[in-house]
Amino acid sequence: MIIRFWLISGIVLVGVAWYLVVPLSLAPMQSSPVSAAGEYRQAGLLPAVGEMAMSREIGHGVFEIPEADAAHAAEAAESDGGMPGMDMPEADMPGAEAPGMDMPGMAMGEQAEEPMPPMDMGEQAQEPMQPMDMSEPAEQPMQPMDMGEQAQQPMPPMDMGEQAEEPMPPMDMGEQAEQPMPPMDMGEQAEEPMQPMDMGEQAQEPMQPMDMGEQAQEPMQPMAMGEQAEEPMPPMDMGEQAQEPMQPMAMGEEMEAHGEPADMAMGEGEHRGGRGLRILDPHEAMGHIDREVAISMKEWGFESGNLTVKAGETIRLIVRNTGNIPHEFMIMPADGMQAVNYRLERADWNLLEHEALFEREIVLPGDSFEVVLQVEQPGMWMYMCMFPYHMQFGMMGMMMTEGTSTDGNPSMGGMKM
Amino acid sequence: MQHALGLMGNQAIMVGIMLALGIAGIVALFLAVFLPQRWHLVYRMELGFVVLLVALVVYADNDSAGTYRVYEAGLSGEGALSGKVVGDAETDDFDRRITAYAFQWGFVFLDEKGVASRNAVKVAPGEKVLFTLASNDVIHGFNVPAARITTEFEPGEMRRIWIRAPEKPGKYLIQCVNYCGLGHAQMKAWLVVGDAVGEGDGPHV
Amino acid sequence: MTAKAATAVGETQTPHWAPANLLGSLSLKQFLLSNDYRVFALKGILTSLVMLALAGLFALTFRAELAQPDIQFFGARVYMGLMTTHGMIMVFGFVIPIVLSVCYYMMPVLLKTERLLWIGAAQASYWTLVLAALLLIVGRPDFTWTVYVPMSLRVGGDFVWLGYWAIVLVGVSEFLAGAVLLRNVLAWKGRWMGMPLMGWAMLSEAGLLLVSTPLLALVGLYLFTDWIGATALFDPARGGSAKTFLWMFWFYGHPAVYLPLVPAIAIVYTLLPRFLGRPIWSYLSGVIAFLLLSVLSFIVFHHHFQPDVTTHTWVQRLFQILTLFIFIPSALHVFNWIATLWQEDIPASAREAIPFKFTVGAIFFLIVGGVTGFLNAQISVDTDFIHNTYWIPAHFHAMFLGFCGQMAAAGIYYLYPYFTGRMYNQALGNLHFWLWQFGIFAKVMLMYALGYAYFPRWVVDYLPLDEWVTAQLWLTVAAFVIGLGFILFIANLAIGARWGAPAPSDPWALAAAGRAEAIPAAAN
Repeated sequence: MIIRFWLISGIVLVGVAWYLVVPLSLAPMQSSPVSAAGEYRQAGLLPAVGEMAMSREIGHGVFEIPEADAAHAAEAAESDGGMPGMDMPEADMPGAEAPGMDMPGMAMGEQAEEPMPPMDMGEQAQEPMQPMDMSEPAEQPMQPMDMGEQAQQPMPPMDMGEQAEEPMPPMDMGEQAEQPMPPMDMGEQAEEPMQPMDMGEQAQEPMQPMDMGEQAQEPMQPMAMGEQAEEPMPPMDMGEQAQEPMQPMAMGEEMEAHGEPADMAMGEGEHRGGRGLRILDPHEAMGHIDREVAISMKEWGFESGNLTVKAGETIRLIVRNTGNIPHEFMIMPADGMQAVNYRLERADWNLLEHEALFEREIVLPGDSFEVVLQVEQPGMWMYMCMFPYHMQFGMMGMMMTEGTSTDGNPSMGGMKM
Repeated sequence: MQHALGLMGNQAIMVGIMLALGIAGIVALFLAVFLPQRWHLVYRMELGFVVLLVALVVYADNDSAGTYRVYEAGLSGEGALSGKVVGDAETDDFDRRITAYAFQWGFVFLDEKGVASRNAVKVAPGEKVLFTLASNDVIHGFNVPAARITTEFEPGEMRRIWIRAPEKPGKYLIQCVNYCGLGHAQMKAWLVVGDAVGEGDGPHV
Repeated sequence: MTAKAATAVGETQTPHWAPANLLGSLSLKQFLLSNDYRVFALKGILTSLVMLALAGLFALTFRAELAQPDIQFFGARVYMGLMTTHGMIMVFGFVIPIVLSVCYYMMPVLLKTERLLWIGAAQASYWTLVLAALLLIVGRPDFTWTVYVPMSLRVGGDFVWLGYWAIVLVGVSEFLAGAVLLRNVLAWKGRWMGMPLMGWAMLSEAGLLLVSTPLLALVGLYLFTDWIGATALFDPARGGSAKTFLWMFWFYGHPAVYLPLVPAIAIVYTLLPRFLGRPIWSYLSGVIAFLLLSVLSFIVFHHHFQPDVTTHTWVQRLFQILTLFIFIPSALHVFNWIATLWQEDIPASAREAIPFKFTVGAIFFLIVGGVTGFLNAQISVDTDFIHNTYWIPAHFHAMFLGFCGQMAAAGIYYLYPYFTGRMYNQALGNLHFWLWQFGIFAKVMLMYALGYAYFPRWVVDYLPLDEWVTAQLWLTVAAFVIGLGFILFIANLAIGARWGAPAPSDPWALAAAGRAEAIPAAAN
């Protein structure tokens, strides 16, 4: 009888304990420490506030971008049913169905059952709710999030699967593998620089010559050729695109360091921009700044919340680390997370690179930097700190143009597909 | 490959002694249980055993102390918060002095000019590099397998270790080995050993 | 031996050293509350086995995650919750209480007290430990069993204080156990050099417990008060020092590793003479080794945080020398046992006996785990591939599971006929034995290999390096083999209690081996 009692109570206790520790695990969280940076600055071990320069030498050759990133981005875009950015009537408001559950790289664990409660996004009500990354099985059922106060809650990472607004999103050649890409007449799509094209799996056919038309002023953005490496690219008629040197194509090779004076305090690859955002040289942009926005980042969020911007405006962001841990500041297109979600918690996270429109690799506690952005067209972007777990704890915000709406039927310009 | 603590030779001997002791013990156990022949040990044998063990202790202590003394002689000055950037250029022979600032969860490496890089430090092959390790927030570890060295440090401390960079160019792992929070498993960095030609002079301007 | 008159609730009337169905004769209330030392010890044993199941299941769970690189099932929070609970429950809830409980069962007859003195304190010790385990499970903290500050003060969540209090309660529970042991050892009325080695072991253990556990309780308490802001002892941000924590915690932490070892050694010293039909080869050697270990264990602990200095001064050197020395008492015990085994024939009854097999298996792992102590102690080698790599868990799993865990199993199998009146199934016992030898050996060797290849501790995921990937996968397999052995063990205990063959009056053929009584009053 004792044996029976022992076995049963033992099994019950073990089962309850397992259930508490695994599926009902407490939410990942950490309180903000107190930084020792001040002491070290006094000792001369760390540069004084404002005087830290980022290295030019350590470039993209050190941190590779895994090829799987492009595949995950492509897969995620594919699960939208075709070209992202096209009118997608089926792109229903993610709500009770908890979409994105089948997003690549999200380990659902035991958390598949919970339907997500509808989220109140405040002013963002129009926007489709981004799918959540459920990789930590249900710490707690998801609370309705009020994006207004987004600093309080640990915001689970957002996976930007189905957002549909982006004008001129990257063209995911996805299923278009059979057809050679028809000649693109860039036509009136003149002012905007051509967005990076993700050639995805379009490996079979060589790319047809592209008539860049009047797309003259802006340097062509880097094209992620992905697997389209076999075929030589036919000559592209760049039109008058003569002034700017063509940006290096991110073929996975090391980008040449820009010769920036160290006091510019801007790091490697910071001039990338793209996807509707242009990064300007702060000195050159002086006088053309429409407004300044102060962003403070700390544990665990950006106190400025979300930013609403106007297409065409030039903004100076002054980003300050008011926290106790070094952070980074990174701007990505709204769907940029798809490419890297699958490896966000992997051991090799710090050892690999990920695509970003802008990145300031390190901001020590107390330090700040500025970056000037020109919003070239309506769109939605995210800014975040993607250090391990920082984003999951809430260090992420959105930047979008006014009136960016859900029923995305973005103008494709004269682009005939 | 050069090792920071020059351990390869000594270490092999120590591992060898450990293996020999272990195997001897296991063999003795098995013989005691399975060998038909019995053996009544005299008490003096245990005394002899103790003498052997004490000799091993003395040998191991001397060897270990000798090794780390030689290593630590390569560090100049004291590692306290003295207000001075450690590594006196006139008296030491380091080719490069790097500050490694550990935080939750990554490393910032700063060279002598205060130029920073995140999660990667570049050195030239065979260089003698001094690392001054500092922690922003909690106890972190710093392990460079290629240099066969590990250390740990708390916030406020300045821990100093030196390594001899590997001869073969490439990327080598640096990892945190003290549990420091949720991102601990991801707290890794690259020790980039570059080509000898022209590199290692600091950032391009 | 006849039972003494009942002293408190539920003292049973079954004779002490004749096989009898003690367990079957108890009501639930008696089982939970009886002050009969055998029932109390059984309660401890059965509870510890539940703790083993719990922490073992947690191990299998995180082993499943670690089997392959990349995150398959859960991330760092769940992993560290599992790992912290695994470590704490295994150390505090399984390996220490189980060997102590086996000793509680044997001590009163060996020391001729016929009962456990200060049983009230012993009961308090038990229930405090149960409460500590519950607090730990509910709190499910992620700060590792070594709770290093400042990290342990910063891990998120409102429940973390439960973890701090669990630590305090463990300290209280263990302190009470130390008091009980000392009281009982001091009740020995004969010559000190005639006291069974179990008595010397318990004296040594009492010293370890009484002196070290206040530090553990204080550490837990200060973690709590620092966390709520009432003190700033450990928190460097407010003027405290993490070094203070390290010195305080490891002052307990090193003796802590001997808390399961010493009783397990005592069980070897008790079982071997009975199975072999002869006394231990050198009684004096045993006594000296116990006393030496107790004293040395308080003055070696810096080796746990050895790399926390830039320059090693005479202080660290002294710790290195003493740490190298502390390997000697354990080596003396092993020498003693091998000499005992070798000096005369081993009876066939011993060779077949499952407890004897486990004893030999345990000694094997004490050697495997123990010789690495020789390497761990050396600062320059420790600084290379040992400190905070998998080498360390390899070492302590060989000791805690390979030696202490197996001696607990040996003790339980030995006592089994005495508290159930039946024998367990021999085939199942053999299967358990072999699964554990292969499983534990594979696990320990793979962990040493991983440590040698610089695999770091406390990681939920790892880089897909060749040296690491295959070893981790096989490590998971080994863990499941051990788990299977455990299930067979429990099954054997449960099934045998009801359906096992009735035990003969002298289940271990001790009379045939030349020992007249189960636990004779004679020396050792």
